[in-house]
Amino acid sequence: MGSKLLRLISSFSLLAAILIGWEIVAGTIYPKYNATSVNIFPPPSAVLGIFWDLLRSGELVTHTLASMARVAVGFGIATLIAVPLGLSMGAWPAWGEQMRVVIEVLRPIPPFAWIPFGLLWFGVGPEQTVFVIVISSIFPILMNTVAGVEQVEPVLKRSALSLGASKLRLFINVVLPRALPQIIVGLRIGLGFAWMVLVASELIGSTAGLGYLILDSRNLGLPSLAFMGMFVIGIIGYLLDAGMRWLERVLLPWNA
Amino acid sequence: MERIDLVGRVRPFLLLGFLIILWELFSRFVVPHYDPSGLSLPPPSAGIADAINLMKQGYLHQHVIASARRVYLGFALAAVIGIPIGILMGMFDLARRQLNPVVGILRPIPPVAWIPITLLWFGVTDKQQYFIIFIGTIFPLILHAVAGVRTVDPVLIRAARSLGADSGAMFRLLLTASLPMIFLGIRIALGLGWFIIVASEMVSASTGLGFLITEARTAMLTERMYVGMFAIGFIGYAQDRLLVWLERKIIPWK
Amino acid sequence: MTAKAALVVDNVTKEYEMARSGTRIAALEGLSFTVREGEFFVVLGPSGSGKTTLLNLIAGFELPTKGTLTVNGAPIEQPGWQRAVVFQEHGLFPWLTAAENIEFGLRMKKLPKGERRDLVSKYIEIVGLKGSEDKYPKELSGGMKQRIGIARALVVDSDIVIMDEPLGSLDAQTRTEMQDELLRILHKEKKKTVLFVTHSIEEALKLADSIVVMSERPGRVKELFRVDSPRPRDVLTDPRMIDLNVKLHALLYRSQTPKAS
Ligand SMILES: Nc1ncnc2c1ncn2[C@@H]1O[C@H](COP(=O)(O)OP(=O)(O)OP(=O)(O)O)[C@@H](O)[C@H]1O
Ligand SMILES: [Mg+2]
Repeated sequence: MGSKLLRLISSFSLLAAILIGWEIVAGTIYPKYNATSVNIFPPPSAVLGIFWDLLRSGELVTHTLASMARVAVGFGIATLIAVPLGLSMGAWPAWGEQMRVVIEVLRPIPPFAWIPFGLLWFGVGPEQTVFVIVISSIFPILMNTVAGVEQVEPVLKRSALSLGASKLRLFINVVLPRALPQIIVGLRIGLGFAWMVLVASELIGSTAGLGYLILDSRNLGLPSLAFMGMFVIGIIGYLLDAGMRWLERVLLPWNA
Repeated sequence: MERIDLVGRVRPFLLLGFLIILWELFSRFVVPHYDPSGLSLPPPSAGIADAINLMKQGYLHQHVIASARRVYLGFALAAVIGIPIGILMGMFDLARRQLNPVVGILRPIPPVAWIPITLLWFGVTDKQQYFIIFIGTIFPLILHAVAGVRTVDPVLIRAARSLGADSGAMFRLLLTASLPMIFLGIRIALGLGWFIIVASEMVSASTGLGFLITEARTAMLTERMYVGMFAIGFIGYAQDRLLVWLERKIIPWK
Repeated sequence: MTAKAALVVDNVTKEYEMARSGTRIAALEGLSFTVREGEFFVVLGPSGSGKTTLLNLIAGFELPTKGTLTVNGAPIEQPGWQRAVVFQEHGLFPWLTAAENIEFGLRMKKLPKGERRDLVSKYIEIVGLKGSEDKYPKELSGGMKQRIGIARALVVDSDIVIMDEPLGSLDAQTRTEMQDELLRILHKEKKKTVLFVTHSIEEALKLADSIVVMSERPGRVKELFRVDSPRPRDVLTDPRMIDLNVKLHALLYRSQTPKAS
């Protein structure tokens, strides 16, 4: 038990060394030679310092909530469109075949390329961000939902039919649960996309949110703020993904 | 017989064709009622005309080349550093245990979040763009290399050992066996590279397809935004097809 | 034994159109036989003789090109619980527990909850899976999965239970055990009509009241045997069984030798 803990701690030694080295070089050595200009390599202590300041002032919470709300709305809309659409494509192959061609044309377009259209149609603000999030997270959810429906084994459908299931029951009690793991994979990827695109969208056309916050660091001449924002974005992104994984385990105990 | 074949070929594109025609008609006859300039949604034909125009002038390919240079140089740098790191992490426990936390902290940060700080470091330069592509593509490269080495069938390793493979031969064996995964990492990374370059060029560049799109927006040339958008989509798609083909050539045993 | 007919297959032909060439091939041709109520009817035939095709027709997954299939006088038009199926690939729903899998057909029949619970626990008991009710299929062995497949088909109380090589994917020992189990389970069910498809002559000898031997493609009835020895049967020493074994071997394998040489 003790040696296991030791092992775990020791595996962080490289990370610790990097952080300490960075603190020493950026915090004490570098400023000696660059006393006049802004320190563009802020040491970890400065990053933590500004994190604490903004946390206390409530500014960090405000921007985080703004970002989260946009992701929630955009991702929610995308889910409401993509899951039923994907199910319908899986359920009616002729329709699925037609839609697939349309999707194949749109899918290779980078999500970020929609940002200028968001700005054109909605102007600077949350609507633009929500629009871009919807567009970019729709495709992974859609593709995985279709794949989920298509992977339902014929023997499962036949089992259900020979046990007296109607067409509707077949869909609700067999196709849906069988496709669910794949749908959740799509949701996880979609949420990852949403978070990534959110940052870009706020960076380019927004006056609030974490993306705006890190861009603002440039105008404020606060490199430590940019770093701090980056890590906060990274950590939230990580937590969102972990949350989805947790949901997957709780919702699908049979699918370990 | 031939006519039947023709119907079969055209059939999958019915909805796509219908939507494009609908868009064309909508832009021509409905949009002007609400937006007399028609700038908010020009018809697809305007986009095609502009694309032909831009290609004739050589303007489009100039931006394509600028973006491609950034994507491929940034990716090359990431590959040269990331793949060996991944292989190292896959082969040696110590490397994996030490590097995992470092990778774990940096990986969840979206590549575009690096833009502000790198602008401070490098200014509006190509170096900044390379860095963004580098940081955006290195993690799939590392992680797939690790997975590639780690998922080599243990039976294969034992078989090689029992056949008397020395450490050099073992190294080559591991490398060969993990090639499909490494290649998958390359495919994903290059796809991501083309995604990220758009955002990066939108924020800070004066060339490239991302710039072309933002420039078109400020110049109120919406049809040119279509061109930039579909150009990137097309390049990304073509690149992926090429990589799939290449994979079959390089790793025929997969 | 009552002579009442449960399933009548009358002059059934099933043709498939080849996707590529568009030519039609017959999987079954002019097939006729009658399954009597309460009997264990075995369909024995070489690979490709159309056993699965026949089963698909009886289950109602597909319709015949020519001829008719009737259960208790009514033509078979679509799948339903009156003809429950046990599949070789078991076909259990992976997201349902053992008990919930058995319950599935009862829910489709909209039985009230209490009744469902009683029936499920009764059949869990019958197939000997007490204690494993709440396990998911992935946590069960091949033999246990097949027991659930059998319980799931029996519990809906269908007119006829169709089994397509239900023991085909089990290892030799489990297979032998399951053959005895099947007899034991069916003995508890009063006179269940079973249509059982298999490759294995030994399995047919152990289980069948009637054995129909199918020809190679296109599948036709080559010969029909009634087996009325009491069970359990000793396939290795009972002279009648040995006699039948020889006959079945000759029908199934000797006919193929000229082709092979
Ligand atoms: N859907 C189909 N389309 C075309 N041909 C088919 C189809 N289903 C079956 N066949 C053909 O019909 C013939 C009989 O097939 P079937 O699966 O019924 O045989 P089987 O007796 O069950 O064989 P096995 O013992 O290998 O399971 C085969 O030649 C097969 O190729
Ligand atoms: Mg078969």
